[in-house]
Amino acid sequence: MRPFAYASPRTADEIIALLTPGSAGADGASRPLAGGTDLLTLMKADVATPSRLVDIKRAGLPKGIEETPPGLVVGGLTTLAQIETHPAVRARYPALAEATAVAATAQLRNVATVAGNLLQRPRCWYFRNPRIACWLKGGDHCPARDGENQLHAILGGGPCHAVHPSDVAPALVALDADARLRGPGGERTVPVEGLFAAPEGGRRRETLVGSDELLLALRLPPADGSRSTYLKSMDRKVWAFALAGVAARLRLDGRRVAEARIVLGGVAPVPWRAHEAERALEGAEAGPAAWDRAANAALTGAAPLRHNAYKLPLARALVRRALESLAT
Amino acid sequence: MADVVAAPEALRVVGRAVPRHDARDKAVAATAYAADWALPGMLHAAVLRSPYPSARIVKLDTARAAAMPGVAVVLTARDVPRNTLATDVPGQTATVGPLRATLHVLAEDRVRHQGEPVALVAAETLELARAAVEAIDVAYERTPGVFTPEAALAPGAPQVHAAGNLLAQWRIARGDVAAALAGAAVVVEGEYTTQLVDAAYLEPESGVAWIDSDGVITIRVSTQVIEHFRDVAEVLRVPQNRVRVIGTYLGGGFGGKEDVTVEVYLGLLALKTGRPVKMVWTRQESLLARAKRHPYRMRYRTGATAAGEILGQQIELLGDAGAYAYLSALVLLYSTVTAAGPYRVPSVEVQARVAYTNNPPTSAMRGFGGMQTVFAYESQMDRVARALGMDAVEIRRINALRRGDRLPVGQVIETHVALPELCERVWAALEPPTPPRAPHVRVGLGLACNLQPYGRIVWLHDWSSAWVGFEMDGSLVVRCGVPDVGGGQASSLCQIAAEVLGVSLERVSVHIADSALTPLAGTTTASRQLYMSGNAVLKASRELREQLLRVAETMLGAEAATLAMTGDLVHAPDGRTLALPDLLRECARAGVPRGHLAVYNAPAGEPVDLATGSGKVFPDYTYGAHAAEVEVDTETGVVRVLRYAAAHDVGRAINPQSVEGQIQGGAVQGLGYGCMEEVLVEDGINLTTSFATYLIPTAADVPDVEPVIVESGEGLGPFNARGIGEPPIGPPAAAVANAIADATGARLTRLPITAERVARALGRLDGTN
Repeated sequence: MRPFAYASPRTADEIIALLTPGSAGADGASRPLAGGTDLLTLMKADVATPSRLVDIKRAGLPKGIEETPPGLVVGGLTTLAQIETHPAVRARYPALAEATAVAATAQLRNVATVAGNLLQRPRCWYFRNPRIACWLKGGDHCPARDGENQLHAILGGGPCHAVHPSDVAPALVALDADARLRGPGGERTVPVEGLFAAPEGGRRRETLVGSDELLLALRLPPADGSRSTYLKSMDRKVWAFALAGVAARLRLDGRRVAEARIVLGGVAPVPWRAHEAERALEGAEAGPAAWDRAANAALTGAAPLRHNAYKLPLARALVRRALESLAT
Repeated sequence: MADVVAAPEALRVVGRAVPRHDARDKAVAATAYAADWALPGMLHAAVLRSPYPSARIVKLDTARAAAMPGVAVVLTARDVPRNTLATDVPGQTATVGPLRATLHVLAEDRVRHQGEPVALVAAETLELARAAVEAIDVAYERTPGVFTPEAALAPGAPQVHAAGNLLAQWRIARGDVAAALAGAAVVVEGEYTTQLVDAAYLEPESGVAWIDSDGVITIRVSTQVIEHFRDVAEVLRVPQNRVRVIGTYLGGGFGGKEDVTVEVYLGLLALKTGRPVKMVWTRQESLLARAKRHPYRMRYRTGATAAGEILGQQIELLGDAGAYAYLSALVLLYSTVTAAGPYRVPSVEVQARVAYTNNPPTSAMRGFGGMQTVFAYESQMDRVARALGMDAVEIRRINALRRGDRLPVGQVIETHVALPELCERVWAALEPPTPPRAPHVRVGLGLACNLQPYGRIVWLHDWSSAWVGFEMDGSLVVRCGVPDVGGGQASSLCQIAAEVLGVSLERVSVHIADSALTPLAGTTTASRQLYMSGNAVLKASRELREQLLRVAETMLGAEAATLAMTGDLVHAPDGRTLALPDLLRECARAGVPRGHLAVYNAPAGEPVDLATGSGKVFPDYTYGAHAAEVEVDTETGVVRVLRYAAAHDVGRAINPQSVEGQIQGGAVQGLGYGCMEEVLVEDGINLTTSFATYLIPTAADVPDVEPVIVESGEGLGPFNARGIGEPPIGPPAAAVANAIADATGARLTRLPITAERVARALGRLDGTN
């Protein structure tokens, strides 16, 4: 790891000033540090080389879970462990509790924050190798497209084929959560889904959150009779990123599906909202036929690469099983 | 060798699951591993490594790095007194020529694999050392490389070394294979591919070196081979008696610390600076650059009668040696000798080759070439059984080697082979079958057997030595140069000495792994230490016992042969006892030594011409049978091992708990090999240099491994023990593959068995690309 400076401001405004290029005291290469579970590994790999880390844990930023009946607010600095064990999350937003519980390891979840989890960088082995000039790092092509792409995207890939690694993000998107952000120009609130966009053109990152913006908090709307779940498949039972994950939420009206959210993780450069699957479900009668239709629709447009076609049956099975578990 | 105490029931210490003296220290983090050492004024070292798999070094200027404040020294190949280490491999075939494998301490004009060491730095801090590594001005000109053994052996391929890319080849031709296959009722053909894997020990390569007050270059290092003091001396051009290697308790070796790792670099840096130097490789360095297990491509044709008797096997093996020879020729020899498995096969042809490539080098790893072939020969056995509608145990019972049979290489099996019993025991251990938990899930059982040599090749004339002696208070000291890699190597020696000399185990101290102060015991590799050093300690203890009892004879007025040593006393037949301190005082007075050095020489032999199959290659073999119950998700291809049992005939278990530990650890490491581990290298570039991408099993991934210990009393080790370090890693991949075939009919022929490969084998990917 390369040497870096360290700052530990006491207010959000000071943090943002240090992160804003061109503002007083900023040097253009400062990065916010919370749990550090992703940033420090990027720095050790020499992929991220910030000149200064700005610790954001001492500025009174929102941390912890606040019940705001009938909804819930989760501070950006809340650890995954806090979320996973919170009774209200477990009772009303099981997709979120389950997604946090299968992320990383207990030790990592004790320090990793939810904001950091949403904004983590891809785990792609080309991206994480400092000597490979992949497209996402400013190179001119994606070596995964014709290379070792068994872990890569089957949906929405190109020019970057890395997948978004977060388990928590698909769950929050499926739960229609909002994110409250603060930057130099003040605060804004956007759907969590709107935090992400596949990298393209000059924007070689997976998020629309500015480098000088802080993800302050997440607001979960009322669960409103919805049921939800998150299923994940990994190369081993624990401590691995998703080969495929699915966050599913259903609101049933008798035997009819009144509302559905299907969001896939580990298969696309962003948490992948499967709109076609949702359309196939909404208004349909709950049951195996609908689950099959949704599972097939969820993979509409899939374009597997040489080594990752296995993710199609894998993701389909996860969608079907998630829906089955919600309807029984 | 006759036993002093023959009947197992009469043993007091041997054969019991006594707590190991090293266990508690490890549990409470009190063990001083190699990286835990520090000395006043110590420098920290770092290595400049090649980023390219094949390149010419066109510029290497260390001036700027060397001038940095706090940097003590920067070394390149020019600064190494003798930069080339050579190893002769005896018994190599004429086709390739006598092999004189060479290795450079630091790269000279070119680099042959990514991660190859180019320069060394020692500085006041680790951060400074790393900064200085980056300040070295180095330029490369990339050159074409070869990245598969097939490509390496193709005409016109870029040459990794001047003598050509074919590093070694071995051949066995026994009987008439063509006729055997032509006359077979069933012939099964299979091609199997195994992958590059890493030892992935908890403790990366590490050590500290200093010039001691006697002027000797002393290196305290995590190694399986303290005899590398000779390599260090050769590189430094100093007499061998001016270098001392102290081996620490290891956080795992698995063959990865059999070759030289940090010790030569540490010796160089200590010699050049005159100061203590520490070098600890990062996990990334270890995964990037350390020698790994050979990937193999194996082609098998197996013919059997309608009754299931194997008539012939035609076998082709091709391994990837990576960029340097290391132990590749010997690894390939192990594969060649074990290629037909623990079975009686009248006609066998083996063509085995290993080629240089610009991939990371491969060398020793637990199983040492006896592992890859298990996946092939046990998959073949399963296919033959299925083709004939035979039971998995039955086909192995019919074909199992028996005493008096010959291996394809001509070696006569001189000890009992318990294979049928081992198969029956593990098969019974998995009764009753687990019912599938969902409609999309199938459950199956798989069996796999193996044989693994213990002890070194007989023409290497292996030996070990140990000293056993009493202090005046009757406490006992064992000195033996054995490195303890975590298998209980040192503890078992204490048990053996305590047993023979009648001392309670708490009164035994053991000093190990010091090339200057402990009698040399050879490498902790090849499942040889219990066998070799166990026999050396046994011999020293018995001879010491005789020596002491001759004195006791006079003191007690009873014949030595009638005296017993137990409970820290000498017992006369009439019930009188003699306390050890009294006996020892009398020894001192009479000038009888209270300690004794013994050397154990393994049965030796001359090199065998494998092709004509003329004789003995290894002293003996350990046999095993493993059974796996797996669950296959037929929609996703995800495989889960539900239950696992592993049986080995260990001759006699000196410490059953350590034996169980070896069996369980080996099975888990073998399951990692079978199901998830792979060093992914693309055109020589390693993509898996962290534990985030190089996945090894966690506790959640493996079921309880049920160890089944069979004690035939047929081994060549102390108390008739056999080696058990390597054998348990062999069968798991094949057991899982066979279980998947049982569950689904799909045959997996490529490791690791990932969800992708299972889904493909199940036809779930048909219609996609």
